[in-house]
Amino acid sequence: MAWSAPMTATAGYIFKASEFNTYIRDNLNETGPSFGSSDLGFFVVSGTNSISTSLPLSASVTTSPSDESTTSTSYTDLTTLGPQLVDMDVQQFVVISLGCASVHNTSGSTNTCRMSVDIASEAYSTAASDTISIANSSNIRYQYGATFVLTLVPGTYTFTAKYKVSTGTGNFNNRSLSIFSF
Amino acid sequence: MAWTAPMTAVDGSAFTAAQFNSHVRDNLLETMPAKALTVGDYFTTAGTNSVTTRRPYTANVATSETTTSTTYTDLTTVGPTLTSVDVGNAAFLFFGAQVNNSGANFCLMSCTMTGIAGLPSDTLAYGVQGTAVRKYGTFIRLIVTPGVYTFQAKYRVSGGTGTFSTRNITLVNF
Repeated sequence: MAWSAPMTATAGYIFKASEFNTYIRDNLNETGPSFGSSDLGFFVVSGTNSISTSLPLSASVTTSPSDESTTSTSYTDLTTLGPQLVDMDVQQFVVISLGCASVHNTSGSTNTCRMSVDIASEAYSTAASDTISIANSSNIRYQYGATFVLTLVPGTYTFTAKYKVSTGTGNFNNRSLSIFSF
Repeated sequence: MAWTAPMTAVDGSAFTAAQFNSHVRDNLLETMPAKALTVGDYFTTAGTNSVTTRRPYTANVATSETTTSTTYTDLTTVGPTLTSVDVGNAAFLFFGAQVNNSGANFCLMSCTMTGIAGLPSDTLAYGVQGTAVRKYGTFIRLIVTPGVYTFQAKYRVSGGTGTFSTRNITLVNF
């Protein structure tokens, strides 16, 4: 079914069952309350006169008793994958929040440990990049985050956190990934 | 048009064309699917019995640039800027950058907002101290009169030279 612009009634006109079904029943079935109880979240525009629900998702990885580390200078997984969010429907935009505790084994502006995110669907993908990342070049542990908005093509996406260093060893923990999709 | 509290039908009462148009047609035109026009928009309340669409906005400047100004200023590449953004009653404004200082000083990033006094401000700023490179961000919740605003990032240091790159501001409004 789809939305139909509601008819205008005129005095004396006999309102047909088919008109009730098209303009009232079918249109009510396109409004927010008609969505099933399993459709949690908020409402987004999925097309002209069409709405769908979107649910904010988050995932986290905490490793105990120690951090996980990498010496890779290109974005890679740590021993424990992610955090990762799978099967997220995106209409056009995503708001991505990254957060982690990180510490480099050596202080210095060229010794940076960095967290970013791989974004992949059948239709579109973009690899983890320094632009959409959080970073710390200190040998003092910091736990912070940042939020970004990206424009994507409509699709069902998997988001996977990735990690790298510019040199040396970077250590990461309390890793979190939160996404709103619109 | 506006939402009208739906009428209550009574046995034996004729349902008039005017009632249909007011209580069915016009109310259906106030629902979300009737106002769904642009993919990626999301819905918020715009007032009593009124919904509207919003969308997130973001702007970036990748270039690494510096300042020694201890008052908020532009870098060589001005911004990033969100120009003429339609803002509802409330919004979250996120900003962040990759930052470091030549010494043990603070680098601060805030922003201006057209028509709003007191910005940029350290109270509404993202700040990092020291020579270590850090790329993080922060957000602030804005409660404003609904309208069209322009946001532009500004920068300062407490001392030394501050270097800022991959600068971003993002607005998610309601």
